[in-house]
Amino acid sequence: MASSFTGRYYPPGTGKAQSVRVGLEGGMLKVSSDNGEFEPIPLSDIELRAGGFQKDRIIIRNKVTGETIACHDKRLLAALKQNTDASHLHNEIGKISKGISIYPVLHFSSWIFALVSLGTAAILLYVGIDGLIDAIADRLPKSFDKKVGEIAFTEISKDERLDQQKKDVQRINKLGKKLLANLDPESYEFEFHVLETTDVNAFALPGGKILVCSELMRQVKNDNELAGVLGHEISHVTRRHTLRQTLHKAGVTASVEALMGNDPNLVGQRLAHLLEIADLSYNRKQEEEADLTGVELLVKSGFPADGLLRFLERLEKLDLSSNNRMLAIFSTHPMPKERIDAMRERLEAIKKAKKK
Amino acid sequence: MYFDVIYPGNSAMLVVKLAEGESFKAEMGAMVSRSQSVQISGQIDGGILRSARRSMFGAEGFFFQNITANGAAGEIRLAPPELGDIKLLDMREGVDYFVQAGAFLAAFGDVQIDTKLQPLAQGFFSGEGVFALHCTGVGAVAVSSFGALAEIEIPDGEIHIVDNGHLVAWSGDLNYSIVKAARSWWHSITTGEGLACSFTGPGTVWIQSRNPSSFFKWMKKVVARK
Repeated sequence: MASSFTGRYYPPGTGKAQSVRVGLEGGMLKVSSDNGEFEPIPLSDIELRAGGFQKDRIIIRNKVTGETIACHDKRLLAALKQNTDASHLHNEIGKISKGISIYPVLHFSSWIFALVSLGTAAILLYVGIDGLIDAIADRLPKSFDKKVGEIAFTEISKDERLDQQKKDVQRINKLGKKLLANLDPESYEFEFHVLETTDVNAFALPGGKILVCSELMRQVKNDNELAGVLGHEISHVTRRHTLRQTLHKAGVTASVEALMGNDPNLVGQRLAHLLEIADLSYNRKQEEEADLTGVELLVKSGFPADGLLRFLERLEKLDLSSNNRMLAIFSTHPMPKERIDAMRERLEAIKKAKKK
Repeated sequence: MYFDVIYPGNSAMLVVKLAEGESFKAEMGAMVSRSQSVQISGQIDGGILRSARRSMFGAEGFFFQNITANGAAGEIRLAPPELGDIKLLDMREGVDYFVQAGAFLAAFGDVQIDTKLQPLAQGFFSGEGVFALHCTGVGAVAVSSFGALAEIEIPDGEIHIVDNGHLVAWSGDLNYSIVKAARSWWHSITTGEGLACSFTGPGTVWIQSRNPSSFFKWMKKVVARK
């Protein structure tokens, strides 16, 4: 035999294989095992097909006797092609060699199935991941918010200058105290701080620390507008929006770590760091929630309900083309028309309720 | 090395006698008893990637146990967790077997174990996962069953249909596809019942007389009643 290939020999009518060597010689298929040689099979008597569950092997059947030989080695196909002129064999070799050659690449239908499955999984993950992280946030104790907020505040204090002007600090605390009087006393321990910066913005850290930029305090026309801003930020804390956004940025793994109670200092440190470096602007739903909850708090506390709306509308009318740091608030607090409309609707409802 | 199945039937056990320095690999946690000289260590068979792939998709442990007789000859006994039989599959050059996830117990000699991707639709719906353990090389592979273990020879071109939950192992030359036993594909997929593997010969299939998930469902009913 010129060259031989490893194969399995199945006697007629059985499914039990014997290990054999398969070769070609003089128009005959020669099969041998450790026990000796089998009767040579004329190539004119054989038929071929691809076998195995991935169609990755050659099945040779003796049409006359019913004996079968299976072989993995696709070089056998080339050898068969060289050793026979039988057109039916050439056709069969052509048919199965394509199937054999694509091994171990998957069949086209499997790739389609894989892509569809992966696409579906990605969509499900995309849709479901927000819900999952929100569910985790809901299960975290309030002490976790406080821990993250404290760590973040310590870090922010290192880089930013806190405004120590008695007047501003007193003003913000006075307004804050009035608003907090109408909150659930079991809520968070709030603190109000003024950041010395030319940005017009305000930010709520998880756990109750609220930072208001000194420039914002100068831009508000009156206490009602400032109370509107504070009510909005307090609502971000009570609804845990900042924590949720941080968890969303941190991903599922960190969220689960937080839930599992893995070293709160370490997890908190990571989340607090993320708070500093990541773009944690709120989403539209969170802004609307904070707007509406803030308005309710304002009304309960005796402030006009439209303080925040008036302030933001005034800022929005500024020249957007100018490099105006007064617009910084919109980078973390987007103000789409729907949000303004929702706030107006709520204010109308409050007015109507008052008239009754 | 000597290995054999003792107590064949419903409580089969595998006994392996090792000369000093001889070793083999087995499924994690399968040891029943061992001589002092027999040492067990974790083994990443075929490298981390291959093991991770096997672990993720083939449902076998990330590591196999590497069992070696150190310093003296020794003996070890192994058993699968479920009640059932053990079969030794003879591995020769060119012969390959696919083993259902969870049925692998041990491998002797120069046997490589890898995962092989099944056609995806079959993998998902067959209940056997996307990958099956693919055993090649020279030696023997021990597989375990839930209940009795039967061998079915399928001659070339003949078709034999096996319920997925009863599948243990099959020879590599068999072609197979998933067929519905229920009246529609939708019914089969949604109920999880009525899916079966249709094997086309030549080759041999080893089946188990009990279906683990059906048994578990039955157990749940019995426990719920009490």
